[in-house]
Amino acid sequence: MRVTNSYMYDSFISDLQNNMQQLDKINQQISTGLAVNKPSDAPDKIGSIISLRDSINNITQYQSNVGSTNDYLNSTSTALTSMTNLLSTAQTLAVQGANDTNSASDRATMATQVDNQIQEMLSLGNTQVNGQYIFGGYQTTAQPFTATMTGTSVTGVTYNGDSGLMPEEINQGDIINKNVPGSSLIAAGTDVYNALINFRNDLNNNDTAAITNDAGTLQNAYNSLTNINTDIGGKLQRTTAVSSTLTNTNTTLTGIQSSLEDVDMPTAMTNFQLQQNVYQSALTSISTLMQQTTLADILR
Amino acid sequence: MPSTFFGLEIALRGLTAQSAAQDVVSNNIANANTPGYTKQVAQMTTTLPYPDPSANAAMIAGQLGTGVVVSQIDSARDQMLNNQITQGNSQQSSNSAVMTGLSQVESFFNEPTSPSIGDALNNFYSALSSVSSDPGDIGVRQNLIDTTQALTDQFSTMNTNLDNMDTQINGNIKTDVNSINSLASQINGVNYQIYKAQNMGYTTNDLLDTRQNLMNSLSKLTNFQATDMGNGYMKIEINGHTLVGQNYTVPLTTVTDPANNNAVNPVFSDDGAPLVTTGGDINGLITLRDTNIAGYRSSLDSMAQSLMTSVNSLQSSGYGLNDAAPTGINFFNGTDSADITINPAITADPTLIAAAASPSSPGDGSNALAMADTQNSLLMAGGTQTIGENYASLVSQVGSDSQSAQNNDQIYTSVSTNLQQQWQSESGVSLDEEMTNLVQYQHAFEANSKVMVVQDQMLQTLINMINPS
Repeated sequence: MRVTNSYMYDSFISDLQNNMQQLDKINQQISTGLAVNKPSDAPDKIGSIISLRDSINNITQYQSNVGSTNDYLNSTSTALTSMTNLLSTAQTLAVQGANDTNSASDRATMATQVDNQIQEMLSLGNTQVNGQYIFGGYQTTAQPFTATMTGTSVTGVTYNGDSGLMPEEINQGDIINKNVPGSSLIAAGTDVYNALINFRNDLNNNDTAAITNDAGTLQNAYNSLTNINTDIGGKLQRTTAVSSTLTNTNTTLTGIQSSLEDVDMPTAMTNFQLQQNVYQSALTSISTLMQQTTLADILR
Repeated sequence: MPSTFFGLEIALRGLTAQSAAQDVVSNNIANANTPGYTKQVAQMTTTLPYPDPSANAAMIAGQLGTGVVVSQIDSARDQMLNNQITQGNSQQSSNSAVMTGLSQVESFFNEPTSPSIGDALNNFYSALSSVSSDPGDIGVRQNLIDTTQALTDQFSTMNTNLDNMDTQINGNIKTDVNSINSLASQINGVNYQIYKAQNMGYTTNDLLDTRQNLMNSLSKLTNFQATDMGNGYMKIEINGHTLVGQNYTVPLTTVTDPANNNAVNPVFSDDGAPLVTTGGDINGLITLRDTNIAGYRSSLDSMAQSLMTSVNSLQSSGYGLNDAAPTGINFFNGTDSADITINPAITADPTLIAAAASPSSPGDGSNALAMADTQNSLLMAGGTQTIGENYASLVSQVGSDSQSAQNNDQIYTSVSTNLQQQWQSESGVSLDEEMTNLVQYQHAFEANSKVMVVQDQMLQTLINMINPS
């Protein structure tokens, strides 16, 4: 093959250009720490990288949903526990009130105590979290329980809420209802307010037979609330489990993302060194060739 | 008998020929770096011997040589290699136009970093989920409006960028058409000069180089077939349609297609036939615009449409904050990715976001949850992909298109470099070679001068003998 002068100079330029391109690419990987800086760097991986980012983003949202679900469940559970304590006290009082050793005036004193319990139960039913009434179903902006008063005593309680359940997605396809609508506190037979109001009325009426009956009703209401609270406890266990699953998944996905996206530093540095050596050698050999004597230098 | 002065004449022819060859060498050295210059060689042949055979010729021992003449100046031209170079140019520059454009498109997507459409889409669905958690909070609703605007901005920015690229491409096509026309008329001019010079019996090496340079330039703009007509003319055709004929050109012009985003397309000015190319910058530009960018745009449009349809139907059947009747309004306005916007009624009143699935239920976020869940619905690609998956495959498509253009560029560049080197090897000037020739012709010139001196001395002897002084 005949080699001409322009041929050599053209080769110098294109060879150096190739070396520079390689150096630039490795340098970009090292300085960004990313093996994939644009889609064309790895079209086979970019789809997975974007899908992983979507998944990680979703997990962050699910984690935040778990947090707000927990807040709601915990507040509900606290309120329910206070309610069951109240009912438990009232039930003990009812057993006591049914006892024949008590006089009518003793029962009237008990009735005052129950009146206070009714007030307390009302305020528990109207518990607010972040300005929202948690027992109102979907009606979170209005007091769910309002009292009908006769003088200073409550003679009836009206429920203004609905039976709406608030779904919360805590993991993909995993939907949990985070609220207990007030309607389940006033179900027929286990209506906590009616149980207390009737009890108080019977105490005032000094009707021991009815009081004995009330003790049973209060027990039923107590059982019903305890069941609801147990259910909440179960849900809290579930959110805790989901939360740790989400954290684990997040760690795994972030690891995969890093393995797809991030540059392997030792390899990149080695390649960089290698490429730099190639470039240096090319420069040396080219400069030698360029300073080479030609026939024209020798001919005199 | 040859003339007494015959020897002098031979020496003179020798001097002239060596000096002419020396000139060719000088020209080669001078043009060693001229692009497209083909190395020239002086062809020396002997002149007609003496005597001519005839019936009454003076008989001598044999035919006597009469010297040398430079009969022709050849060039080391390889037309087949030249044709390969023009084809290589066409492939390379077509692909290069696509590669440059796609690397721009890639930067528009800004993946795998943010902000990007994918990122904005994620934020949008997260914001919907937050609204479903806390439907009564106006701040959370406002955040949904903000992320929605960020998303529609991403869509419209992408569209503007792609539209700007189209405009740029259309401008470049017009420039290419002008350049093609200019090159065509230059080739036509050189064709005529070569035709005249050949008719007068000249060799036309430098004109051929000029024409080849013009053809090389043309090949970077469009592919073509060149046919040597044998009379000095080179006919240039593109897909069978004449661009440069014998003493005429058919210039290109452009037409604008209003049905296709005002695309500018090249046509022949004589019959309006569209220019059909398979190579060159103009081919790359058209491919980039009509295949790549148009494809990406329609994918983005489908994405925007799926997004609008899925969210709008839930929005219009759902209930705003504490509303007794369904909103009956859309969440998004628009028809495609270019004009998708959030309904201004919602921007003005965030309570209109239909988070609730039941009337007058401020705590109901189940409809917002349903909207957020459309993220996982297989709405696209014939019910096989979610919007997010469809976006990921679009980015992956852009990436692989761009990568294959980059890989092709490496291949075509190395093919081109090889052909160039081969051309340099066959047709380029080697300075060492020319120095050798220079010395060779110099010695021959000196020898011829010596012959002349000796002839002169012989004649002196003869003249002095006749007329002694």
